[in-house]
Amino acid sequence: MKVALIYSFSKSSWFSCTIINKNIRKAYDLLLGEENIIHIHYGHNRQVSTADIKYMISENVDKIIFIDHKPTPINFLQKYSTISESKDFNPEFIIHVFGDYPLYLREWRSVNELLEGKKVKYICASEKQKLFVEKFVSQKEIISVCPFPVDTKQFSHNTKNRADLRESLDIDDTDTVLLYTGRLSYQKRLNELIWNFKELIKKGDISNTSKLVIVGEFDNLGFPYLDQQHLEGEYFRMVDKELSSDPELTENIILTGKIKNQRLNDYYNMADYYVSLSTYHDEDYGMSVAEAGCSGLPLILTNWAGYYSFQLPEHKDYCSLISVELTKSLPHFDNLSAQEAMKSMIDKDFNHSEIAEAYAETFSITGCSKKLGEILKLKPEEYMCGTDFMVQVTNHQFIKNNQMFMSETSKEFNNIYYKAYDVYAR
Amino acid sequence: MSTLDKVKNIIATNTEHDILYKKWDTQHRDEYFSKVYWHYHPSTEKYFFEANPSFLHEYKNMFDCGRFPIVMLRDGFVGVLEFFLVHPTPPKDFRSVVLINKKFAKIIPVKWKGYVATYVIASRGRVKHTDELLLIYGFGTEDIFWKESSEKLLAKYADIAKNYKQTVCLFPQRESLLSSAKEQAQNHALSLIRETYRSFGFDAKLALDFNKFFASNDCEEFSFLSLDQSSVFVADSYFEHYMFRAGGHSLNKEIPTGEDVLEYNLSANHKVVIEDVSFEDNLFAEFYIQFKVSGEKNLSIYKIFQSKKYREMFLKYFSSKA
Repeated sequence: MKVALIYSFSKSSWFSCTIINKNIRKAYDLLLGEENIIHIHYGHNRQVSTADIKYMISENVDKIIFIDHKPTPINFLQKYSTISESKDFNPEFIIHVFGDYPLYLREWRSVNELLEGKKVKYICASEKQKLFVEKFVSQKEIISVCPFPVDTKQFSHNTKNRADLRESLDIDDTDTVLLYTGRLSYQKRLNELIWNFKELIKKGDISNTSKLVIVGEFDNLGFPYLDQQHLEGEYFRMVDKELSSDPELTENIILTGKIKNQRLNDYYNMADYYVSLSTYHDEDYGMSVAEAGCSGLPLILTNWAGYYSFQLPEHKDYCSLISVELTKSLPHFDNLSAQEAMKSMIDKDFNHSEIAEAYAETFSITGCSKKLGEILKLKPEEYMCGTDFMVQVTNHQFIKNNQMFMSETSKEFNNIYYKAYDVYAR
Repeated sequence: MSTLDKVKNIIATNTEHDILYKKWDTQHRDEYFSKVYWHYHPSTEKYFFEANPSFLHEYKNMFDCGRFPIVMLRDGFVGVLEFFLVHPTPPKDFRSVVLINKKFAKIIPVKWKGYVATYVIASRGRVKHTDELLLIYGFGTEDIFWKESSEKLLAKYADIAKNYKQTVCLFPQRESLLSSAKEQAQNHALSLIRETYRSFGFDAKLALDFNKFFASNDCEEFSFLSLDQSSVFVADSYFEHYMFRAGGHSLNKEIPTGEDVLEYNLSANHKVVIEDVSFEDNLFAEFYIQFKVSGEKNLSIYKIFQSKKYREMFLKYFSSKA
């Protein structure tokens, strides 16, 4: 089998996507062998060279696989359609879906049209993302799930630097450490995380030497679906206020700022638990969560979107999920439930090596490679069309851009939001 | 209640309704200011703080300004001077607290006591100095060269740059829109580029677009230094906030603050420090006399900027070394 991997050779502005792209390529390398893969540059400026497409056709690839988050395949397919004439060349098109899928629904609508009659598969990163994408793609059977792979050579259980890192952060070896890594963004709910952590200490539910370590950089994303763009520094001020409101607990919460990717594994191994209360609207997956699991950390997560897939069927106790429900604005979780989830996980003992092994089986490059192999072998179907819901949502998007889910009267979520996102909160 | 207590209470209770930059339907005082504002962008870019950082001319008039319990003026010399020359005493029924950059505390009229405090943007001391990379940034506008010629100024910066492994000059090209037509014709922006190459050598690394530079360069360890140490138009520049947040070490001149202050963190690496005004050695009277003697009826930031007399007074009292 010969495949063409289509992606941008430049780094993405979305850091996790650069890592995902690299790891997906490794998974395909492992599955198919480098000699059976050709790499086609499809830049973020939407350009793909005619020569590259012709080369791909001349190599008679069996499958054309899109592994990047942007641009959508639209420009590639438009160019391809002007070049490809031979009826003998009938490859399968495989598309890895990323979290920004809804932001480009207008383009995906056109992609659907360009793919009509062709053999198509979609690969989603999580079960709930699959349910989400099914609302826009009429044939459920062409949508599969394969997580974005984690490089377990980089993320694994390894405590060699644990003591040193704890010392540098002024954390005692016996202190319980909860860790969050990722973007520090409004929808990641860091201020609620900090508040709930502090409540646990104040109530005596966890030791007053417990630490919450938060790794990452602040952004200004705000809540674009509801037209709430944050100013520079706005979310930092919200979090700083929460931190400062209990001066006696300031030392229990450590904000490290941005850490180099190469050092992240040390942070995972320094900690005892990974926690995230994120309800980011397009949390299709959770690369940080996957890395944390592969590093051996038990997980405390909201049962929101892609996070659901981190509760392994054979090891449900490794991951505690907190219920979430949709509301008129930010999805809601109960603070007491969040505290209870954190407390109950902290009360348990875990074998970090076993956790790392369990998560690596599913989320490592090797594990994902096996999954991809299964998906590639599935009988391809000819693509028919998108759903009526796709048409409805994209009509809104053409007029309202990314405020398509916002009511034009109340500035709260409208009914199509609930129809789209109900699957993320189940 | 002391002014600082007032400031503290307002900041603690301010909601987004009381912050200009959270509003979507604001207008600048006039179209020309909008042009100037965008010309000085991104130094004028918005950022968030509960004390409502904003420029004087982002308000239509004093009624507009008075809608907000607190206003932290990001203006430099020309904006602050215009504000106090036009309003040497607080307008009747004006209840807001105004924060002025401490650089220009000496031109705050005594009659404003109780209504004003000063602020500085300062490092939190968490980022150590590094000689890996020096970012020199700024616009080649006329005021940069008020104190010394472009040749002398760039030679000084080139001398500083010798202590660094790498230097990048981040000099977006801008016209001097505050200047008179005659000065605009001098093309100071071009002069800046010319002197950069003369002083740094033809291999000098020059970047002309702030956003593109940071999008394509992962600056992890760097020190930063502004071309504008005088703050004629902008005292509170977005450049500084951005660089602090990006983890840079500031080489800009720090203004010392006292002990009885309010401090608010703006990022992991920088903060704003607010303190009461000291009216010792106050200079307002001298500027006010000059204003009255001139007979000027419609004072504006443009007239102040273009006035030889105000420039001389500025250079005498406020110009600083790099």
